[in-house]
Amino acid sequence: MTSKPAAWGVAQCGDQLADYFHIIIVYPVRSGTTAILINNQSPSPFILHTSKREGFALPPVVTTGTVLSNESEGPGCFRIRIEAPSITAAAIPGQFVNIRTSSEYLPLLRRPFSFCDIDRSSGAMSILLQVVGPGTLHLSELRAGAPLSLVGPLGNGFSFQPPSPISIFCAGGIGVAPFPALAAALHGQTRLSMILGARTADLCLCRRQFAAYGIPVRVATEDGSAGTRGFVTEPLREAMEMSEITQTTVYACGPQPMLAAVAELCRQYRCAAQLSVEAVMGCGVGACLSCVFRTPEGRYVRSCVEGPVFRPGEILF
Amino acid sequence: MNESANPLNNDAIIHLNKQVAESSNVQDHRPDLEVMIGRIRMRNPVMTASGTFGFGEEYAAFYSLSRLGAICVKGTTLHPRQGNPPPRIHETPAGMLNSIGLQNPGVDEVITEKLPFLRDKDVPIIVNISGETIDEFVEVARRLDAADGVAGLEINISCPNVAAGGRCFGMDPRLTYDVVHAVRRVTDLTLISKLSPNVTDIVEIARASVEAGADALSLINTVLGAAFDIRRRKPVLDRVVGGLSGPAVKPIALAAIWQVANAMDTPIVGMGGILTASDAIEFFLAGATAVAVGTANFVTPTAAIEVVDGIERYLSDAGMTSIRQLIRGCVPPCSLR
Repeated sequence: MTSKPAAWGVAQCGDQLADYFHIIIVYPVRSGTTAILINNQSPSPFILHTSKREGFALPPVVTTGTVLSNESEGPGCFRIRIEAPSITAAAIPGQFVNIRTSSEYLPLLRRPFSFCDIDRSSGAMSILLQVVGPGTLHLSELRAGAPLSLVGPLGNGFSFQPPSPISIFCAGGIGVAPFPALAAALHGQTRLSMILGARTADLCLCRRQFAAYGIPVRVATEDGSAGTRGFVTEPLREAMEMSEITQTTVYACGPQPMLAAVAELCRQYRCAAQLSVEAVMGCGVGACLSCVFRTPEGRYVRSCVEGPVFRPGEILF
Repeated sequence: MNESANPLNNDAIIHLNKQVAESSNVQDHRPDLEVMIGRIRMRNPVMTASGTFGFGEEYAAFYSLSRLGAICVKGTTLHPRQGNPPPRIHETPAGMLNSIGLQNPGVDEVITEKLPFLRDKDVPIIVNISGETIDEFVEVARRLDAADGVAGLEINISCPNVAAGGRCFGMDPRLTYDVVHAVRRVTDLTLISKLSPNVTDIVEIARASVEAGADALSLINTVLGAAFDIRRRKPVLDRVVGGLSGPAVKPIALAAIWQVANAMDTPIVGMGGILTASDAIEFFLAGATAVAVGTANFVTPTAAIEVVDGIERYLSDAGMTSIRQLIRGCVPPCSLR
């Protein structure tokens, strides 16, 4: 690949991809960007179409991962570490993996989970889950060594190249899931702080991880059992008051009413924000049209393909 | 998931070796999977079911679309449709209810924006068409007939979500005849009438479709269903009722195909809950000439080609040389009916 077609360029691929692909050539096409990646393991290049957003998204794969560990994180909450090198290599914080929770097709459909940890060196990633139904119950009972059918990485992740000087994470409940991975990616490149909301103190998850990155965490609980009593919106307002707003990006993930409130606050303060939504998904790849959100223009967009990370104003809550 | 590993059992390998001895080129002795649906030559008997495969773009990331027998794309209407408000799906035991509301960009944008992507994929494209009046069906068919790269039309006379005057075309033999006949008059493309199971006598609707000029029949469309949220004490879906799909409807589909196949020789595209090749083989035995994989595409993006590979393996293992040995395998020949 010494000769380089004139219309093509070598991508500014960032550290994430350069570890895995020797040569990355991109050229723009109408629907986004096409990249040809030449893997150091495989001699055949593969071509992919990226999303319309900036940055790369590697093509998703269907694969079988292996559960490495399954640990309780709180009442009804679990962190499952899964060995899945092909997905882990391509995963970007904010993207998700679609997991078949039972080999018997009961439940039938997969369940989507954000990447909670992305450990490329070991080829393992983790998901964080709260037991809410039969699918999550099945997963919560998995032991190390269990095979798991996976599709991923899927969706548009958070966008952070280049990172803004100040980043505020805002999580509600199990919506904390993508933030350990995002913290790892942003660590050392931006001034990070976090607002962590949950119903009760023991549902404030991942605090040890945020502490390990030295991220100051403000806690808000609905029952007042830790931090301030109430929702994340008040602490977020205070944080934005004190922040250099033009230098700040808010990253939020949580239930829809929380995201609606965060979007409204960011609109008031004219603060950049990225919101990761949760929706019931059928396929996770854009075909079934079930996980849609309405846009201000009256169209529907798919949270699995156009999202799950949206900018405020792109969707209506 | 890895279906590419050699799964042949000993008998099949012996059989294969015998064939190798007879010919130097083993490739010639792979089972013949080709089938015809109307004038559409399918390289294998597996297509995708409308509404579960978009316009192919999403799945092209997972495999080469040319591995499919055909692609039936999302239901297309004359005008763009935004679809129903969410929630649009609800999971049920071994199935799912959907109420998407025929969200699609409209026939003109399908022709200019969606078909060009599919045209060079070396796979026959069938466009599923819907309308609220016969005139709408006719106009959509006319425009697709004039477009490049369309092999056939699947007439959705049965979608339970779009109720014009409360009753679907496909629930009445007269209305079925009228809409299929009207479309037949404006196009020479292969016409497939997609039947609803939500009828008293599906054979009657199938006959009306064939008499009106349908080349083939798709069955079944989704089964009317509903679900209620006992916590909120409200219907789950905005439109209350939706279409049930998935393994839960498979026996209903097999019975419908059996009934129609016993009444006529018109080729049937069988669908309804096919997750695996074993499911597909049941459909051939019941009377289908081809099958469509639908909800399974949601469960596993590579499901349709896994069904193709599994059918080929089944034929090899059984010592069969052609899919035609399986098609209508349990249906008595015409003379014995």
